[in-house]
Amino acid sequence: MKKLIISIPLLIILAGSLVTGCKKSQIDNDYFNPDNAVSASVSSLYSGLFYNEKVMPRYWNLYTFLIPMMGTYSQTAGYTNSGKVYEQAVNYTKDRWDYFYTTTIARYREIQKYYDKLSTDADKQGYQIFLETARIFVYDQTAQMVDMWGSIPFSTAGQLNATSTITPPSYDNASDIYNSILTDLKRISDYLATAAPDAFYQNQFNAYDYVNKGSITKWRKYCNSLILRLAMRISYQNETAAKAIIQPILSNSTQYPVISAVSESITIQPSSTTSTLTVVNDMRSGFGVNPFAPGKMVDTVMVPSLDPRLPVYFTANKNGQYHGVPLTWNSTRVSDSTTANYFSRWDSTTFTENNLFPGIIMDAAEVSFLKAEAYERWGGGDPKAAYETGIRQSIQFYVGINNKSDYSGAKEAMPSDPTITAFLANPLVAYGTNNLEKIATQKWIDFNIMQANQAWAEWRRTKLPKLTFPTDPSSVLSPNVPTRLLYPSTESSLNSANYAAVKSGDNVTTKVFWDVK
Amino acid sequence: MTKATIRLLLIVLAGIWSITGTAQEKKMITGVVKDSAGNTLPNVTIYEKGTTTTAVSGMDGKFKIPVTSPRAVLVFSSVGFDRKEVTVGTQESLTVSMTGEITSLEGVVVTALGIKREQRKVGYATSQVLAKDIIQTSPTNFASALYGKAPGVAITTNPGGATSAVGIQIRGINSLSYQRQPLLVVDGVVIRNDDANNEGYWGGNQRLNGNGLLDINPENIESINILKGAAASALYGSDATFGVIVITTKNGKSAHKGLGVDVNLSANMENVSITPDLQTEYGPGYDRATNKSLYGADDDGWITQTVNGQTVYRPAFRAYGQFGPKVDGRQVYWWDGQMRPYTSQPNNWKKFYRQGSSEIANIAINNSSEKGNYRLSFTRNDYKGIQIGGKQEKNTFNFNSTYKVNSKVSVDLVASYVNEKVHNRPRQIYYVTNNYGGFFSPVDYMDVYFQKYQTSKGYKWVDYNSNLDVDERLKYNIRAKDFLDFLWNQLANSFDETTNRLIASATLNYNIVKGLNFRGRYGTDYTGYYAEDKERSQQPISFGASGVYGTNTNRFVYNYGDLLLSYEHGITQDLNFTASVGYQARRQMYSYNSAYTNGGLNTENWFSISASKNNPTGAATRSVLDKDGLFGILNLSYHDFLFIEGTLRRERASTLAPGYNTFYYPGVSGAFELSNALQLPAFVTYSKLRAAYGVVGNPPDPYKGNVAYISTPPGNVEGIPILYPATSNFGNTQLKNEQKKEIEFGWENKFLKNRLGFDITYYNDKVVNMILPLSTPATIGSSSVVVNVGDMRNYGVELSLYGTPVKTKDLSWDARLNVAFNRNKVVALMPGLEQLQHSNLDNGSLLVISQPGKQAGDIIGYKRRVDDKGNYIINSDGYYDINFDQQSKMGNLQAKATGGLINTFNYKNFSVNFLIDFRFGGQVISQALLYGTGAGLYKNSLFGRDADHGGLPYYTDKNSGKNVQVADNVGQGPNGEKVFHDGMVLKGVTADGKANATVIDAPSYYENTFTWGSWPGSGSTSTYEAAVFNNDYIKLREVSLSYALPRKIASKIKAQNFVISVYGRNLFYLHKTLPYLDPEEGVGTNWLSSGTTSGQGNAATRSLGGSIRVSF
Repeated sequence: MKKLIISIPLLIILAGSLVTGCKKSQIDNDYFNPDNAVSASVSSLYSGLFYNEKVMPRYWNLYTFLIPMMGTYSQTAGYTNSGKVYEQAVNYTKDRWDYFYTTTIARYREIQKYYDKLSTDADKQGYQIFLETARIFVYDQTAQMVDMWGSIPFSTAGQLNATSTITPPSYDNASDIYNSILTDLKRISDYLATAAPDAFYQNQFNAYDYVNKGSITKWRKYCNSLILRLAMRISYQNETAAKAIIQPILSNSTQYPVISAVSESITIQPSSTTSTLTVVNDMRSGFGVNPFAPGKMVDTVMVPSLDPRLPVYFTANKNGQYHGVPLTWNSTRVSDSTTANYFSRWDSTTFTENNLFPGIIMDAAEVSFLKAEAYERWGGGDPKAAYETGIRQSIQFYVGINNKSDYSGAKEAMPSDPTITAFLANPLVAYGTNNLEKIATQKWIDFNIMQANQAWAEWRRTKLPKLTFPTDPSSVLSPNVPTRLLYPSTESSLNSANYAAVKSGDNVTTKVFWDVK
Repeated sequence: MTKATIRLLLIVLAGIWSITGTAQEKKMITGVVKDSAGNTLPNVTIYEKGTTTTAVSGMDGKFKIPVTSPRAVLVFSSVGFDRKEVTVGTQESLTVSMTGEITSLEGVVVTALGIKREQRKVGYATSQVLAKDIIQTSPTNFASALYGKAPGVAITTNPGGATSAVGIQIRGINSLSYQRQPLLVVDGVVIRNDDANNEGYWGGNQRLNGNGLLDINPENIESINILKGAAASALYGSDATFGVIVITTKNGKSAHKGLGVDVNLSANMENVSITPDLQTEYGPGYDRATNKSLYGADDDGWITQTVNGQTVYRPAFRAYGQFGPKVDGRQVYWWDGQMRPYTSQPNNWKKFYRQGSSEIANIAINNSSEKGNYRLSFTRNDYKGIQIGGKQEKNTFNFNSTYKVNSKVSVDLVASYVNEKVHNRPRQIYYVTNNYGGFFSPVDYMDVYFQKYQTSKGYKWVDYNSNLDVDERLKYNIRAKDFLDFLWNQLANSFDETTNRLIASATLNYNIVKGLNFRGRYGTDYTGYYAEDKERSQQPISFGASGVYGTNTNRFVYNYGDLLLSYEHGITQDLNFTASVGYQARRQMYSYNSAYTNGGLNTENWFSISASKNNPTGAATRSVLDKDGLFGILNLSYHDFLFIEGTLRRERASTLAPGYNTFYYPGVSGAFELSNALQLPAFVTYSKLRAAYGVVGNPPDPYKGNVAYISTPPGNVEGIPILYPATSNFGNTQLKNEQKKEIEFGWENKFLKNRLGFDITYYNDKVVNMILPLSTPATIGSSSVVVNVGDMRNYGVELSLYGTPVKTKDLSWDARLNVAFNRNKVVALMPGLEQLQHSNLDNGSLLVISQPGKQAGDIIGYKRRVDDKGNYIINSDGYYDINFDQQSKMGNLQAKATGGLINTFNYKNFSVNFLIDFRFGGQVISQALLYGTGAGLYKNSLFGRDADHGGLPYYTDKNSGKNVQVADNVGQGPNGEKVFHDGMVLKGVTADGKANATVIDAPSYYENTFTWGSWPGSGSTSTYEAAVFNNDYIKLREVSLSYALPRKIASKIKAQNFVISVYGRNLFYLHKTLPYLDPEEGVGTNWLSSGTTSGQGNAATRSLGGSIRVSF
């Protein structure tokens, strides 16, 4: 018993010393990952929004999505007409889908959340420039999603970021999304026309906006040009509405300036190969999936019209000729001709070895072609001038990219005026006949493989240029070129209640609402 | 504790009171207990057999016990010694010598926190495996030696040989998403062990990784105790949901007194165990129509080409299918530009693998004296696996010592240092077996691939359409380019890993006063890992920089400490208690640094960061985990037949948010030794009942619950800070701990003086608040969110049956059968959640899911449509119609029964041992076999291809394009159409109920029926049911034959022991249901990964070898 008397206090002392052994604060402190930030801000989330690997020329997007699928569906890639060529690589379309929601939408919702949390009116007013310009980009990306899929979740998407709840979103009707975007872009355009943030906020905006370097004017031009693009896209489905949106913009360049010079093109341009916007060799790896020139574009348009962009876009074959891959050849013949170095490839200086290729958001040529189409169809301006400006801008834009390339290969000189004038006079190009087709064709060349998703959308809208897609008998799912992408399986399995509303249209032949021709 | 348990305990207690006998006349016996060396032994329990009288020897080894019976028998027992029975007779004073310090281990188990307890006093199931059973066939790690040896313990080997991880799963799945490896405790210290390759091919490392347990050298292990249930491991709290493996290493005491030396040498050959049966009759190509339209081939699949003015033939080597020209031995223009005979190469896979080897040399010195003992050992392993290109070298130093400072204080020092070098660890062959881009043809020559993966100038192989090296490029487009890449990666490039690991601990034992003991322990497990990645320049620098140099450094540090104060006291003569309090803490740190060249090497094959064309890239990540626990233990023993233990642990873990990070884990267990309490029939040697209940937990990995913003990559954009939210595995600040509550009952019996026995255990656990990164539609903003998702139950029976059917002077036969049955059920999921999706293969073609009320891990997919009589519906094209309206169950990944049968025969100096292990129930998924079947690689795709293989004659009508079946002797169709003999008519009915008569050609049948992708809207006629296989097997796992040199002869070389053995491991299957593959080819260490990846890791290995073990 005596020993028990000794030992009990000992036990207590020991126990007491043990409890303090590991400090509670240490256990609590080690909860957070020291490499992540516990909270964010409007400005840092804003710069995160534009870090978009579908806008920048990234290996993954090029290799899995843009070249094999978008390139095939728009014939901007020189693909071989082998079996199941129109079938969608569903894992990769899912990847594109997920990227939009977990990146663009999620980041946008976080910006909104942090904006709503701002406590002073001054902050709210000052940071509004961040919020509204972010919206332009988000709307641009959203419209691209609608162009590929049709109806998509939009207004209720991203609830996890907005409200920290797992709330599967409903699907918004594709044309409703377009309408709401067009309405809001108009509002933003009017806001930007008068926006003048205090220096405190403007200086932050200058620093964080690496797209337009804080230039509100450039944001206005992007905003109005985007309205043009989207309104023109619905112009066959609802011509009245499109006209009503487009004409006020084109008739009032003071209130609604648009991108009108190559230098005003909206791009994300890496400053150097050491920039974090650059991933070295990504273009090379991305084009590894299929480096070849498209047959129709090269052999029936660019070569016969002596297009000055040929040496900028493509490498000549060993005989100094330019040839794309024809869709009528079997794969053995294509393979043999490839071995014989018959086909041209995308140019190494401009594209495949260019580590400074910009992320193209909207280029000047596209806007000029949009103008040309509007003037051609509805009057109000000189379509020929707009069309020819567009071609000149396209040449200048790609020669510029070529000349900025970090690749050691020879750079292309800007074609001389007589060369361009001769090109503009070539019957395949000259304005006067088949004007809409010529506008569409030149826009298609301007988009090329780098904006193949836009090329695909415009072709579906206009059915121009006239592309022939041979039927693929080996495919049950997609014997012909699809008119939209399939929803990812995660939507049907995990968002089944909302998916039910769009299920009946979830096939490769449903047309996006503006696809009426 | 359930009411039933309480009731049972009450009955047991009542029984005990009634047993306590009436007073009888007593005689006092005194004496002293000593060990074999003559030292006095304290704490020896002495009781009179058939009574409840007990005593304990004092510090001086003296004891005093009253006996009643005139022919009293005293039983002496102590931890670490053989039980000894002494007939008192007329003696009043005894000197008892206890022996068997080495052999008696079977009576002692090391339980939680390194506390040694007599096995008979333990109230929960433990499984013990001893040194001799581990090293019989010289495995390179201890876990591979556990196959079939402990009921309820299932082993999974990552294929790839000695450098690949081994997974251990105890009592089924205990977490749907965070299933981990059991806690590994070596000499009382928690050490690093982990899973490997469970992320799939794309999610993580494409090499077959190892895990921490590989560094525990089997040669140094004295015993392994496996704590299976929650009560057994509750003291480890939130580390213990998956059981605990307690390893005790050999120390100097375990040999004879004085200096001893042990030398062991073993060597074995390793060969590929099972390769697929390739069909040998057809070469590359698709169905006739495709060959013609895609390649311009003729009806037989031949492509004609003119090379240097000569007409040459070739099949479509670009095709992944093997439905091309029949093998006819003709000269073919090969893809490397040579002419080669067109023959089949059935041994391609055997040629792909090589013969590997394993050599192990071990030397150990031990010494013991009054003041203590030590053991020092060195082991060298040299290993080459069956996959080309890799090797491993490993040195292990081990030191284990005990030093007695004085009679009250002793110190144990244990240190183990492992130095390992691995060159080109085996890669998963996913790219060759699970990917059409890597399929090589059965007519391909393996040596051509081995020549062509690099050019003669040492650059990477050049594709047919590349201009890098026109002379050496492929002559035309082929299929298996990913296979060439695989060879380039594994043979031309090098990836060298160096690991240095130190596991060290110091333990202080202090006997403060009699009955009061203190133990303090500190241990560390430090691993420094350094890897160098040298990827050769793929092309001349003039075409652009290529090649990679990179290094990465990992550091794992586990710091562990525990304190234990225990007090032992007898309240009355019959009732003893031991009370302990303790504290345990662990801090686990991981850091990773890497530096890589960027944009290629600016000088070819200059492997240096300085050679980076662009600014090199670097990365650094880290993580910290803290856990601590305060615990108390109360042991009660009543007489010598009832033993009760209660434990409670209060724990904190840093991986959950403040406010959610403190938990309590109780445990209680009781053992009731019937054979001591009751007078049982004479043939019952030993009988014990057990009951236990406990709670353990499993918090998430560090930082999983964090809701935070990420900055990298890229960290900043041209200097501008960026932040963004997580795109998957979104955090959750209210995450709770997973907890497992388990109850178990057991009954252990030995009969006929241990000639026969059995041990049966029933357990039932419930895991609540399971944590899962719940797959969510990405449209909410993240593709998964970490949540507490539901509850699950496991229950099962474990049975060991053992005996010695034969025992004579020269011959003995020992046998043991272990069987475990586990059943599992998901009890509930969070509201609104109908099912959990664990795995989604090929865009939903096959899912692994769990649904409430059902077993976790159901495999579901789309099956062929059948009519109400069960006939297949055949579509208008003549193919199976797949029912995409509903997903049907195709199997489940979990095994129903696992176990092993161990037999040991001893005849004079010879000993033969063989171990069979088995698994029944459950399915495995092999996409490799599905794709391979559709590609016509295997013998299972021969049916229907020609008349000899049951192909039907038919012609394709010129006008309608439809196939028309004709009689055997018809030469041509009505319009002169050619008759082909590869027709098939699938058995089934058409949509309108008529028997199907549509003729399809066999190649199209295989291509369309066993192919990638089967989901609604895919239009596919393939079902992934063809990728699901039953996975039952019975395997002859180990056979060893050893011969011990007679002492006389051995002593001539001064050896005390000299044993020569030959052995084989993973020999062959007595029965298996998975075709073409070894059931152990799945990748990864957990159930989900290894069950869904069959055939994409590496082939399994068969080993044959021999060893010599000498003791001096």
